[in-house]
Amino acid sequence: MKFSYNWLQSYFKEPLPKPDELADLLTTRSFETDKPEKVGDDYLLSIDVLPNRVSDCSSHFGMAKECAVFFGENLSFEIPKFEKNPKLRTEDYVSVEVENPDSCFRYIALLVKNPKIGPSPDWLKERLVSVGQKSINNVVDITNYVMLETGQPLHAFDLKKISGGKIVVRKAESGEKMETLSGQHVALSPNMLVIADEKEPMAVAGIKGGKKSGINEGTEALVIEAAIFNPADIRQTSREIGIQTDASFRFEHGISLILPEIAIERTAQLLSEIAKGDVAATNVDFCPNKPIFSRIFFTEDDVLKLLGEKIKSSDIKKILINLGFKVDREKERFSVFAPRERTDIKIKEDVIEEVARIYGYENIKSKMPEESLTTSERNEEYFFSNFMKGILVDMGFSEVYNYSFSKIGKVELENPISRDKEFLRMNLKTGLVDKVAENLLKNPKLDEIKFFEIGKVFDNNLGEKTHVAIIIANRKRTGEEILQEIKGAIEEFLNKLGIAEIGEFDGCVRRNVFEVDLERIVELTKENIEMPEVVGFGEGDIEYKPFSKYPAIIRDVSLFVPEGTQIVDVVDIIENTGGELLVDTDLFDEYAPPDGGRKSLAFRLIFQSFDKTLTDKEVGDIMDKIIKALDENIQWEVRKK
Amino acid sequence: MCIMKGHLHPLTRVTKQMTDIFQSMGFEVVLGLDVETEYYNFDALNIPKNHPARDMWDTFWLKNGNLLRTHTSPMQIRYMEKNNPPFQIVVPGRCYRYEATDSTHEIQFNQMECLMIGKDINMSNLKGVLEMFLKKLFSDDKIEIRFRPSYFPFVEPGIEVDMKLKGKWLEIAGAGMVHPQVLKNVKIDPNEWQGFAFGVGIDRVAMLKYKIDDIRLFYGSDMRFLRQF
Repeated sequence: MKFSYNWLQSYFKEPLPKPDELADLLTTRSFETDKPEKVGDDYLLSIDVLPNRVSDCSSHFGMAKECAVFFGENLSFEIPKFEKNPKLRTEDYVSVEVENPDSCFRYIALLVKNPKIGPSPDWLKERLVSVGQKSINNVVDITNYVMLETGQPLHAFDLKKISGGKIVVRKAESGEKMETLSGQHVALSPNMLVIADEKEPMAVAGIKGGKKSGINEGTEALVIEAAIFNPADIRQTSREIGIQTDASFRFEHGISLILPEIAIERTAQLLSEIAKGDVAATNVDFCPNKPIFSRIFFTEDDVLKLLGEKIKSSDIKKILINLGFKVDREKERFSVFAPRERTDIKIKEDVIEEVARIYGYENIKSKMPEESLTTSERNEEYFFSNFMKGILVDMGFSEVYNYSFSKIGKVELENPISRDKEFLRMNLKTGLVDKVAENLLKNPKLDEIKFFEIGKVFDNNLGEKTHVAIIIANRKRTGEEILQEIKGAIEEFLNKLGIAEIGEFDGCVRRNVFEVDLERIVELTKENIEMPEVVGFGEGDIEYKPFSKYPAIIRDVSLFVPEGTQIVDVVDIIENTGGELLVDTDLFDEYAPPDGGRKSLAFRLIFQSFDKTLTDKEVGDIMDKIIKALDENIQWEVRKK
Repeated sequence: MCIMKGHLHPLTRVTKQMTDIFQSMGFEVVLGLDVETEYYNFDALNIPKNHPARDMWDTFWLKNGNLLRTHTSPMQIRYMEKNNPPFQIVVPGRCYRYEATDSTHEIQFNQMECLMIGKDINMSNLKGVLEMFLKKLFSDDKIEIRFRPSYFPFVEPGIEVDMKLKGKWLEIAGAGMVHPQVLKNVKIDPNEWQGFAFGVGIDRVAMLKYKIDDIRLFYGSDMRFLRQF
């Protein structure tokens, strides 16, 4: 969420720490904050308000109050005095009926007559612009400003457009539609809450206002709404209609029942001051269940027990008071009330967290646990997997981790990420075969690939199982030769696991792949050999070097050279001419006739770029240069195909 | 004939190093299920339906009503349901998130969950265990860590753990003290038992250790990548 540094500063008499320092304090004490960004003479702070703190910190005043605690201060929200019209009563103009009190916990409506609608004063425009909002007119700006200041979303209706003077908070009827303020047509369904008049919906509750009931230059009287809706309802409706707003974000996280009364008062004051509106002396306030604030008890020992750090009683008290807690002492215990906007504080552990973060997590010393605990038992599946991995690597197989997703399978996804990942894999084989093919295509120099994978496969009835699979591919061998090779590998693998009877695994071989349920092998292994205590892989200093993700292009070049020519001389010419796109030069054939005479050399050149896929033409041009360079030596002759 | 050795996947290497360190501290390795129920992945961990905290875990749902675990935390519940404290376990395993992929995000990744419950297991123990673990893992005795406030519904207090590597703070784990409600959900008395839990991204550790710049390489099965390990 975006916050203006200057706006935060406006709540303090003393200067705040520099933006960078404030961001660091926020990060270690409250919320992760990015490096502030300078915008004009202000700084924009991007603060990641935690989901459970939206109620009290999705607002500039709330955030200022949070910052004040770092400096040992406790800020309180002051609304300047202003005049209300004692003869004007909201209930004489509009009524509020809430049909679904489970979905709407509080609804305040306030009448303001004769506002002078026009542009906002500069300070107000600047505040909105500083956090990336547009200025529309003074009334709309005030409602937006108060939301950004207090965290309470507000809405303004034009009184004369509220048919029958009735505000009805109800579920939509099927088939009802509404056009939003921004011109979007929304089809409503009976699970959605709306703010309606006698005839039709005027707003999708807590999400977006309707165009028809919105205010304009001709508006003579306003009804300001400050309400609290059921977070789950807002969340569901917002997803269904695909509209998320600053208001819906706040409502779906749940905000305190006390916010509407603060926000409506602040809105009234600003409407009176800026728009010279005539504010009604009374408002209509639907609030059947008064907010409950419960007392939480805890002791210093509770703090010590959870944190492992002794914090002085006086420090605990001071931190909580600065956070706005009401702190009492009842015999040996603390008895506290959380600030009324803090919907996240429910149990003593919540209170201890507050103490800990303001005390500073860096001040909690690290200690190893003293309790002696049970000795650990070996996990069979984990242990045997690693044991087998060691054997397979020694046999020349490389381990892969393929996706658990597949084009085909038995367990289907409700929301697949792509067409080729609609199922969970039912075997490891399919993935291995694909990956081998991909590698042979991408690595022209690679003739043989030996992979293995130990991973989960899925079935609706059997659940998930861990399989072991190995694959061998070789460009230069026939299917029969590979089949013999894999059979040999399986025999070696199983023998190393102490399994001599390998006949029963014949059915697990398909062409060049072997796949089997891990459990089957583990059972047999346990019967046959004594396992080592530990399995070690050894660990050298490995540092990965990036390779190009773009395909390589191969070209061959062969030439005749006189007997006694140094191969390195030829390679030098090729590589110096080839430039950086030539990544490898390989002598793959050399023939010197027994009678002496010219030698024949054949090189395989591999071209690859780090930035793009090379075209045939680009490589062709380089090849032309290389051939020309080689031909410049009159004793050499490049063979033309 | 000399046989060329194959290559062990970097994630296997790192997972093994991580579990070895924990086993040396007396932790037991436990494995979980990739396919989980909504109850174990969310509800039992204090993340009810329609709770905005669920946004933190974009989920793959299955047509059979189950889901792919979004973290290794469900195993906390499964283990605690069947075992009596005190205990200390680590759970390495594959997790899934329904999200767009880029060099630091993948639809599948590996996490290691750590859970320790006893009579007096506290936050300074969490710091001690994490510090010891990271010092051994990165073979660096001077590694600094810091705790930052965070929020996970199944812990209270909830924190994010950063580690200082080459002068920069990097996020390395989400952690906290197990929420009393979670203990109640598995019928363990929170007045008698308490402890910590944390989750470390294994892919992230491997990326830091081997200076790998793209998480997707782990699942690409590309020999040019694999043969470097």
